[in-house]
Amino acid sequence: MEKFDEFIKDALEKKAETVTPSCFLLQRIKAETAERKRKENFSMKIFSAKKLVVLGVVALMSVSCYAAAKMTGVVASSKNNEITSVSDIGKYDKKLGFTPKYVDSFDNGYKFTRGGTGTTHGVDEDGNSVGKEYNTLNLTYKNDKGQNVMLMIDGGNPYTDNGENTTGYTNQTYKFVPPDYQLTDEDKKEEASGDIVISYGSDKVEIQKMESYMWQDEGLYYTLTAADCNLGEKEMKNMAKQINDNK
Amino acid sequence: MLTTEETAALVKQIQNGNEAAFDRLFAEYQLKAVRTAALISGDVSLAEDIVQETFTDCFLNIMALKKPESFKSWFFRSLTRKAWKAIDKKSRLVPVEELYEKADSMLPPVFDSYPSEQRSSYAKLYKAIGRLGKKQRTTIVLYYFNGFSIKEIANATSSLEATVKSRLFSAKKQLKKSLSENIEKMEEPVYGKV
Repeated sequence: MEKFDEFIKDALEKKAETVTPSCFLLQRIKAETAERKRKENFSMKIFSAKKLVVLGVVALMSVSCYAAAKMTGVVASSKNNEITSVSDIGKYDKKLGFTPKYVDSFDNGYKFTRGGTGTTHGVDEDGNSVGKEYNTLNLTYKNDKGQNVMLMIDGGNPYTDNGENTTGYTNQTYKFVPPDYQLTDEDKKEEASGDIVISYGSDKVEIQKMESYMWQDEGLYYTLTAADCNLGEKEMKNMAKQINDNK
Repeated sequence: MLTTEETAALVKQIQNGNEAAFDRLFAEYQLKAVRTAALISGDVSLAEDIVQETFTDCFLNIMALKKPESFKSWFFRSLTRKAWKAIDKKSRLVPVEELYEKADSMLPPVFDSYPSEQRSSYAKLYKAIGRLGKKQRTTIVLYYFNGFSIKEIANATSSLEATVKSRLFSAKKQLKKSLSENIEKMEEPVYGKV
């Protein structure tokens, strides 16, 4: 190989090293697959409801929280790069069927980077749709450290429809592990006590603390979700207030 | 990366309804897929959507894959098409050149300790790759980053091998032209021993 060929190869490899898939990618693929199967009436049934997870931590949390009910989880599938400019968000009001409140940036430095629209609905343990389907808008905000906070705004809430109150602050530690990962005794203990939730499909073992703050405003359901941002209840409540106060 | 035989075995397991086999296949392909999508599209934020669509389509249509050993070319053909579609969609919103100028103006941190002349060479190359047409850029990425043969690129891009050779030749010519000053110095150890 010529020196120039080696130079191109090396440059591409160096550039690519900065790109790493998010730990939610597999969950998003499974959610999208389940959603399309549901819509297209696919008869092939491969993904179990237990792993029928979602874009967004809130729904990830909910899968474990609602195991006893008929509705065992919520699938929210959404594009995350459909909206690239904050000035374009308003253009999606008609598609969504509602006018959400949002901010360009938060006082604590998180600024809008991208967003997209999709749908959310409840599912039973067989992955069948339960209840109504609602339109959803998700907006991602990033700070200077590269940390992300996601704001999801739903036209309705499957949990509320199911008679559950989901508003307020919650946090949960997740351990993302490779598909062939063998649980240690400590993992089993922590999973049983609810200290961690094990999520399979990552290429390496990673532990993340997820936080969410949910509230309702003028008939819409808002959820702020953060991974390893250590915001805490007070800070998330303050961010929610900034959205609520934005007319 | 899995061998062709190992990949084929996993595909057969998925076709037989084994969910864990899909997880394993995903774990093996995801990194290369996201990086390839980012290099072809020149946009990291687009890459995950491209890969999400590709894996979803592959999974939903995997029963139709009659030759499990051809999964790799089947997968990258799908990824390439989706990347091109994403580029076309985005270029309607932002002029392509501006998009890639922006994407390539920042060098990865690995270059922080490099001499300025060397940094300048890499920056020029990234800019030049960003200015290539999507088909030429895809050819360059698949050839140099993925290590695909001309035949494999022809499969992935649904093109004739002669067309791939032509794209590779003209893309390299354009890249060389944009780096002409640096190329002369390339005979000296500007890029280190290669």
